[in-house]
Amino acid sequence: MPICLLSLPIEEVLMSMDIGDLIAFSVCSKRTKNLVKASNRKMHRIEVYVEERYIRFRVMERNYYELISFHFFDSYIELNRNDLVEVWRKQDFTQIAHWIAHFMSIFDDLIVDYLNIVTASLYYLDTVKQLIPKCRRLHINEICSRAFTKDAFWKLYPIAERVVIYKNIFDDETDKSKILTLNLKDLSFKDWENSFKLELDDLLTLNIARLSMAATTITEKALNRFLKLWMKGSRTFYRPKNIRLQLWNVVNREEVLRGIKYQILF
Amino acid sequence: MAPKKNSAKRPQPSTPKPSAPARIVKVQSSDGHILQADVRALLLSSTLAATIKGYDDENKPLEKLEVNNVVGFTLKLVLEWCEKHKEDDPAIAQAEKDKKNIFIPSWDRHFLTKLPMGNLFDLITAAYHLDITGLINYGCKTVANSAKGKSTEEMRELFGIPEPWEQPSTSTATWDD
Repeated sequence: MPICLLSLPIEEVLMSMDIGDLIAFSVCSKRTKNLVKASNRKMHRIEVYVEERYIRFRVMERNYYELISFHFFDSYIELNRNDLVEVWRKQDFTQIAHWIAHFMSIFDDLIVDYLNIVTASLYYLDTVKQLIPKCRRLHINEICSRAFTKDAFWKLYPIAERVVIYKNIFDDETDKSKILTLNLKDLSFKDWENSFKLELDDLLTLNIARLSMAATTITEKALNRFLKLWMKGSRTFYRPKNIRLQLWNVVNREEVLRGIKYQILF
Repeated sequence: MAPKKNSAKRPQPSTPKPSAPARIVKVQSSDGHILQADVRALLLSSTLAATIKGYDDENKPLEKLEVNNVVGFTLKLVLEWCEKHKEDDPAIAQAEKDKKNIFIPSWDRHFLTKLPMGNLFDLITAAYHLDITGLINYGCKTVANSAKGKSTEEMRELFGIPEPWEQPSTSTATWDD
């Protein structure tokens, strides 16, 4: 007797399925793909790690604490669930891009929460940008070289709400000025080996809403002048809301706060 | 003292309660089988409940209900499920609707998983036509559970999904449209 799943109230079946099963079902045919898409299941958190040979997705669904991990290779994907590794293939999927495009299309309003560029060739980053047009947080991994980090930053920063990089990518004053005046929500630099040298003008022309820099070299005099100007000036026109500088050089607090009334609360 | 079990969210198994004598009516399937059922069991179906109410409102004697879109074999399963759940609070089934993590009580698990997939699909389809929320919930969850951990190939086999090149040309609702 032929069985026809299409005759069922399929939305209710899909609602009850685990994520891995849902994705396996979506790969069966165009129809199953569209059914999964129409079921409008939301993913709670998606992390993506870009490596030289594969792209890894870690997917978590809200409240159910179901976490599964996919490794996308060109001709197949590896799915890790329930401590088992499964290999899936699909005849017309011959590139990582085919798999990821399928995955991204079955969940509406899918935004990658965390995109970590671990190792990849620069030209491949264009593909990554096409596949993942938006992410909340972009990390360019600390194992990446300084030159790669710089190129990857310029390629990918437009897709991210928040960027974290682990190398000082300022080659000269022009670089510094270009980066610090970008219209970014949140940028964190974390390089404890090559400190970021900041001047007063850098802080005054800053256009990033939240900036975090480690480690920073800045003089007490520059900090003192910045504080005074910031307190005196029209703060509503100054975009940065939070500047966090972890200092490389030792500063004298009295010098930084000279001429400013202040109170130590705790 | 033994710890209290948190059973508030789980549907409680039906327990017989002293109640009025059962009101039995005949139910006829689309292929002419005539079965008998307690009206309280039939009230789990919103569709049948509306029909029964219509008879009661007009004070017409209800001798036979016709269920035109369910065959005898499936209708027997539907009635068996409804008989088991006739004392249930319908609010529980409504509350579980659209939830992913539905707990299936052991009787229902046994009842539904023993069915071949084709019969289970027919049962869910009948529950859908008759609007029996609890049976839809448990049936759909059972189908979802049967897909647990399955690969694409295994799902094709389980659900009878043909490969794209195996699509029947005459079908109106195909897997690949």
